[in-house]
Amino acid sequence: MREKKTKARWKGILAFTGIFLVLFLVVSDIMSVSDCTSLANIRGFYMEPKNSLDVAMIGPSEFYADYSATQAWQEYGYTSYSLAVAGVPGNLYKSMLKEVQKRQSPKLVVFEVNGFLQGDDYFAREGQLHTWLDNIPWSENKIETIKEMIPENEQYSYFCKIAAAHNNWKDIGQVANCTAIKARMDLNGYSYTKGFGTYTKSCDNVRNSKEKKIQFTEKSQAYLSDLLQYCKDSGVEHVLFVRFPHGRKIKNPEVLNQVADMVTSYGYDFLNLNDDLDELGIDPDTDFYNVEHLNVKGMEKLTTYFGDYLCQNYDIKSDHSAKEVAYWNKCAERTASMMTECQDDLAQGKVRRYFELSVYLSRTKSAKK
Amino acid sequence: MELISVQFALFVAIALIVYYLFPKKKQWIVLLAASYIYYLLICNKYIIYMMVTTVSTYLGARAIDALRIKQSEVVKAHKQEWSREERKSYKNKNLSKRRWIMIGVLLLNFGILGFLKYFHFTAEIVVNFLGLFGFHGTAPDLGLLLPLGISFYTFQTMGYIIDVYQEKVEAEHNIAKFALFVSFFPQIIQGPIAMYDDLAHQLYEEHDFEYDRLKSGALLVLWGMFKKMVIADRAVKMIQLVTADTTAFSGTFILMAALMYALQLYADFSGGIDIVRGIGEMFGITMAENFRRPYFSKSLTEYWHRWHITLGNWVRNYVFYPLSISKKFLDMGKWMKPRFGKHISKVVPTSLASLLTFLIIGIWHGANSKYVAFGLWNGVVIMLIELFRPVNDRIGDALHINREGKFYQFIAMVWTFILVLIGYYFDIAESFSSAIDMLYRSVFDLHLSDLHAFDVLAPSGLDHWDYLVILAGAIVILIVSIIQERSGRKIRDMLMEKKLRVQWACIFVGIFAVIIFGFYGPGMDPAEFVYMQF
Repeated sequence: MREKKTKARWKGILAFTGIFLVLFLVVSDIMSVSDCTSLANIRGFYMEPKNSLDVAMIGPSEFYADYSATQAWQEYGYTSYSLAVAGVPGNLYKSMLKEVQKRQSPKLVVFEVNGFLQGDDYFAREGQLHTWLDNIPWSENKIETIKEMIPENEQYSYFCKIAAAHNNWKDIGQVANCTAIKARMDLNGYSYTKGFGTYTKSCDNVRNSKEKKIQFTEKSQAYLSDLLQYCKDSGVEHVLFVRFPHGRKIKNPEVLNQVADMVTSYGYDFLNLNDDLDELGIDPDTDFYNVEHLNVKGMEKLTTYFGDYLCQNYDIKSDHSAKEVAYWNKCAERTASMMTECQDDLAQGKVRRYFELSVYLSRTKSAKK
Repeated sequence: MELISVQFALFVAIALIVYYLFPKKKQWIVLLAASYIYYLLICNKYIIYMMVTTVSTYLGARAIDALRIKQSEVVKAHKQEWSREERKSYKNKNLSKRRWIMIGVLLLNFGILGFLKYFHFTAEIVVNFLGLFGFHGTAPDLGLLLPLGISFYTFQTMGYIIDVYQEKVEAEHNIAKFALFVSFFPQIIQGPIAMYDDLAHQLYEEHDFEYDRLKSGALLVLWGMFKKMVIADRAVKMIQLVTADTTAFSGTFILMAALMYALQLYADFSGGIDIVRGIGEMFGITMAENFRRPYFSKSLTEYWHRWHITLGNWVRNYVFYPLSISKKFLDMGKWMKPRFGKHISKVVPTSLASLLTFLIIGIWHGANSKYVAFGLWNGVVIMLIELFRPVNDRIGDALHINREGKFYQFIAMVWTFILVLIGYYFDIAESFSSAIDMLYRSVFDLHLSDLHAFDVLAPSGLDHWDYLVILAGAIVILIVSIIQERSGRKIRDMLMEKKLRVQWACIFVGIFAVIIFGFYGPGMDPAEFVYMQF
């Protein structure tokens, strides 16, 4: 009798612990809130079929706003993905590359250098560190990144994300948004836009915007050098470091030369598109949504230019299976229809955000019609 | 290793596993080892003070006991040959020796506590006093650090030596067992202050693993964490902001801060005690209750029977009663009776003893004039209430006030709370004069329209959601307290009677309420338990 009772209790304890753990993980995931576009970009990356990407784009929001992987597919036939996290500091690039390498063998890796040019405080941006580390799966790389990048007394909040995320109940709207994105993407099983996000508006003060001073500090140099060395050591053959176009002119453009020198000293390439707006055909009055990012019109122009540049300078095209082609065509079509809505809104002056989730919402709209 | 931390939770879990796997007769050794490891981890070399207290009290108690035994043996042996006077004289000498041993132990240990805790305070008073006579100087800074929990374990241990002296308990023969009584790790930091005959035997007893007891203890820990993490740690931010510069805030906000402090202090201290008692329960040890819904008190005396009960009991047993029945106080009563009447002669000596008791409570809280004022306020108010009780009774009778009526009881409760709240001003103020200023402004600078300027509280880091959580938490505490007060039962016991799925649902709600609404994590900087500093 007593034995039976003890057995039942142990079962009860195990069941309780199990339910608690499941609830804890679910609540932790729900409460963990990130910038929606970055979240969709990271989540979508892990949904890409293994070894299917020709080009991996790693960097900040410039990559998801100024470049469309699906447009590049339609125009040039190579597959790419913008693993872009808003405001991501350069010290995370190595960790991002490692994640890419776990799933893909791209012929070319492209980095946006913005993450190295914003001063030392930029490397400790808690929000961005959480956006990346909270949304990637557990692995040796994740643990190493936490240990390397996060002060010891704060590491617990990265190992147990509810410690930092529990207070997000105050922003219940964002919690709901992120949960919707996660659920919808998980249901779909893959990303349509391949890392894209924009706002349908035109910035009217690009020409009058203040010049910006960029900083390539000792810390930045150390992080960039570390990344370059890692690329060398891990045998990444083709790496392009790029500075995408910005509305604000750089006050000290010579800093970019320093970056270029360091990059080329490791045998990799550097491309500065910061001020070449005329050559790119970008109109500062209509093609930016703010001084840092192109809008959908500017993005189309830059994707065409940049895609062409990549095809001209790198052997990135490969033969994709019929299944892959069909998959990419489907994604490109769905994204293109979202882009059309995007263009319409821009023309009509309706300011909206468009990103991965917009594709699903767009389909709902058409289904209702 | 904070009381609320993953490290401490792991420490307790390991201690529990080892405790219940150990041979039952030796379980107390696990507790002793855990207690010393814990204290070493949090206090490092300052453990020496606790060891001095342990050894000196142990030896003192053993010496007292030995003298007592010797006395009964000698008296027995000389029963026939000694006259009554000789016997009395021997007993007095023996008693005197025992008293001196007790005094020696008390002086040594209260001396350590006093020196570490009150040296700076006293030195500053002396320097200020000398300054009046033209001798200017500065108080020496010896860089003294107060070992955690010193007030608690000193009071507990000194209670024991007095009990041994008064022959209420026998001295413990095993120094290791006695060391456990002094150092029992859940309670060492913030009490409750246990009586030897309540706690010791439980520590040394054999304990079987009991699932229901473990669950009940865990529920009490959860409730304590709710009070501490959800309410107290959040509320303290607003209090810190207002009290850091009271001149920047109107009386409305000062009053709000005082009210918030009443909630925060209760949630913090009782929450901490719930955690401690819950852990104790998991080990099969029932520790004394320290709070019994104090804000439901209908008089200040009742409040002190419901608030920090174990400290109240200690000072009552070892200060108030000995003083009230001391020869001098009895003589004072006798002297007053023909001069001032029966009531005054009865009340004044008792009130003076009570005043001294509260003075000790005040000083126990800290080396600061504001704590002295806090103690005096409580003592004086209780004294005045007792002195004017006949007048009060007469007025009540004349107005035909029904003292048993709900309305009267409610008013008495509110009035008592106001008196308690006034005492709290001395607690939160920087100094005595600041407390008086805050009190004045809370009454004469009170404007409801100030509530529109709620933004002045923004630097505290709290937003309207936080205040909503505090309010919701306070309502939960209130409801639980009302249920307990009316039924006289523990909510835990009531919950245990429900179906398993109801129990689990409630427990999960509790756990996730703490996880989600708790004030913790990076940048949140949760406050230490208020009573840890004592």
